[in-house]
Amino acid sequence: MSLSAESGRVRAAWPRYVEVHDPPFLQRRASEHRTYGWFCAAMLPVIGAGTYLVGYGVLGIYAAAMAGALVASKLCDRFAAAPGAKSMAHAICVGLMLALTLPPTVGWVAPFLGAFAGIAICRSLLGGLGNYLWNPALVGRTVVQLAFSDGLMPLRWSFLGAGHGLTGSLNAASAGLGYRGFDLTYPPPGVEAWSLARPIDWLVGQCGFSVAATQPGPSLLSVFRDCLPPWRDTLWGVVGGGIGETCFLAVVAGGLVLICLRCSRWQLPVAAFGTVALLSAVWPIRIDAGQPAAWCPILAVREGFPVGAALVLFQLTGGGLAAASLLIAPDPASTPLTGRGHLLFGVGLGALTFLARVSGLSPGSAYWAVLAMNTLVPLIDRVTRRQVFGTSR
Amino acid sequence: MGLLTQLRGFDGGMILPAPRRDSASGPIQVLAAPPVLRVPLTQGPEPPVRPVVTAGQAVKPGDLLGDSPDGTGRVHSPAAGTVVGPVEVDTPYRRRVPAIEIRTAPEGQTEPVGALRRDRNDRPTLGGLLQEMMELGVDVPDADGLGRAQRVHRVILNGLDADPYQTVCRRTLMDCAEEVVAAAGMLHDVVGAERTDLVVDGARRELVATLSAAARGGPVRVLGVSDRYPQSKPVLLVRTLAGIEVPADRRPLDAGIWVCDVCTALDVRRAWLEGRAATWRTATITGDAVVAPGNYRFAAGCTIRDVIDPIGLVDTPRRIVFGGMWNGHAVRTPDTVLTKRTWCLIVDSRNRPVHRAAIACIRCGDCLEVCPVRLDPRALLEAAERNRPDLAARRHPHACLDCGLCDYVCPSSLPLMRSAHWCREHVPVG
Repeated sequence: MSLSAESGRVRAAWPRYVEVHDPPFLQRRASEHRTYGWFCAAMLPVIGAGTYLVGYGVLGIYAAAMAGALVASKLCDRFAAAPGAKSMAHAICVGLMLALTLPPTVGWVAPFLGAFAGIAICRSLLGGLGNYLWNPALVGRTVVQLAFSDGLMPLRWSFLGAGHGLTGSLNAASAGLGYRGFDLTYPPPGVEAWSLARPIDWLVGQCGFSVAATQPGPSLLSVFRDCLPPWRDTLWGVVGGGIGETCFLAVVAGGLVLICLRCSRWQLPVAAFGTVALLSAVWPIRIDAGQPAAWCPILAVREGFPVGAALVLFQLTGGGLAAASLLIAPDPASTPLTGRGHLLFGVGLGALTFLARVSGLSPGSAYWAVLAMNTLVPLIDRVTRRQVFGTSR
Repeated sequence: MGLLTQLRGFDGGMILPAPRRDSASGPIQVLAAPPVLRVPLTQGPEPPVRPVVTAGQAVKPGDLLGDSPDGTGRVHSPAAGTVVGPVEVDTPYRRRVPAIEIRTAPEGQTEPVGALRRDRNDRPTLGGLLQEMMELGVDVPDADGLGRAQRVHRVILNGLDADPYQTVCRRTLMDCAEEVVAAAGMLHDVVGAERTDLVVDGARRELVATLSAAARGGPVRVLGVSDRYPQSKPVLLVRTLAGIEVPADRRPLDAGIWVCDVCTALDVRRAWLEGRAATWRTATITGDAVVAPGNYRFAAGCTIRDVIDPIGLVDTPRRIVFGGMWNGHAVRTPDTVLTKRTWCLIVDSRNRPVHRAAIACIRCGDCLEVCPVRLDPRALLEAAERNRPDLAARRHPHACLDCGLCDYVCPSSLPLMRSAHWCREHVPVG
């Protein structure tokens, strides 16, 4: 078939010139706003879970943290950050990340100041988004921890009892019972909430994590039976902890959203969880009262109860590891560039978290581990640099 | 069903989204030559050749218009007509190129299809074939290297299109399957290769089946590979098929592998059998502003306007892209003259705001992940921003294939492609 100009198909006129710009002429729908917007969206499950588990008061903590981050972003970016390195979405995201690690009784000053400090010190002063080394949310948390040590790291963390979700009052809390026989029982009349230690703190405090340990202490079985809640409570988050870190299922849902949308990489959380699981499976621990610590506790079964497996599960779900590795650490600006780098980062994060727990640095050990690994990111990037196509170096 | 290999091949790359309108749905159509042709005396960025015709001279299709002392870059008349005189035109590759203006005769406005002058099974020598291709103006890739006494043990016939907008190779394979296989067999014999692979997109199962049926019993093997952009680049084909990474200062030919695209192979066969000079070109013409996206055959020397007008415009063009959406370049005016080296032309009615204002790198690492040659585009950007060619030299910028993926995926809209280009300009090869 042949076409010619006479076929009269011309329906529009040609301009004399058209605009010219550089290739590529298409761009994937991606932007820093979109990336950090999805980070904020991924926090919604934990915000929702926290609101139910600790009461709608937590929304104030989130709001205060967001406000602090936005104020810092408005005030300080003007003076310090490089042009193009300011981002509202990132500031909001930092505020949310900070808030989810805080206890419900923290008030609103600490989240506001923490988020302000995180953005001002870690983002603006270091040149803006993309130029900082440490996660701003965790830097803000550190600042708050130094300033408000009592308020931020209480021994007992409050959460609402069964039947009082969303609207219960944390002031009517009971500290007496402990987790013993806990199992979602309704609190007695007049009590609307519990005030108890985080399961991971309890576990670490009670277990002799030392090769040489023959010090007196309860057996692993009695720790699980008498001191800790049923394991599934750590999945639902009906335990003490930060307002966004206790509900493991919500954290995983948010993390999966980020991974599926390619805002974060699967390597980091998988490596972190794998490392913690492996280390807690083999690291020596006192299993029976009065006995020296034994290697490979995962194999231990006492009175028909798999105490070793329970130990590993509590290590994975009982503390801040999930929130740190799935929601906070994946901030792209403070993680390595490549997937292999994320793998190394995750292994380091898991190992440091576990070692910090073992050595008794427990409160927020995963967050300290993230900050430590952030420091190593330039080194990881150098180690994981790939050989360019067709070159020998 | 032929041998379908889904090999991972090279690192990085990505499956690109398909355009909204498929340009390969209909067969290749031939556009009549316009009343006036301005045939440029160079096809690409090379210096122009010397004109050998004078004003008023009558020319037949295939008559020589321009020649050079060493015989390369010859230009022939695509149609019968009268030479008006020398003019200057813009081509997509160069501005203000000398050209020959021809007023075409009404009866000479279609492509001259000659009778066979040789037997189909005739096999030329390599030197003879290359000499004749030079005389007929067919650009054989790596012709100088092939001519030297280098042993070529493998021929790779590239049937992959550069990007999803371009469909000329696929459509050519669909329309002329037998002819392409015959051309591949001829090149196999002429080069003396031990192995010849015809590479096509493995996801097009029908196409693979058709070609495999055509190639049965012959020396050519049809390979379906995953068409992950930019697989069609010759060095990446060599990487996928032979596992060899060719350095930036070498060619696949140095490893004994010759990569040739199917359209050129077809031109070579037609030129050899019919003595037809390369003066017409098939290219994909697509985009929002075009009534009927498709593959069209037109005479070299048409302007973009000449080519698009018979196809029809739906809307006022706002952007003309020559080459491809990912690594082509924008053309300024519809009066630009197309040469024989045209693959794809995209005419869009919207000039989408492609490059938003660049913001800071958020270190997402997507550019490193998609780079098919494992470069660090961020490092090249830093070198370009700081005007430091020494920093760039350490990062091997010449390995860059100019595929544009880093720029495409960057959430911060950083000018990664442009900075890689700067580095290549400021760092010596090797």
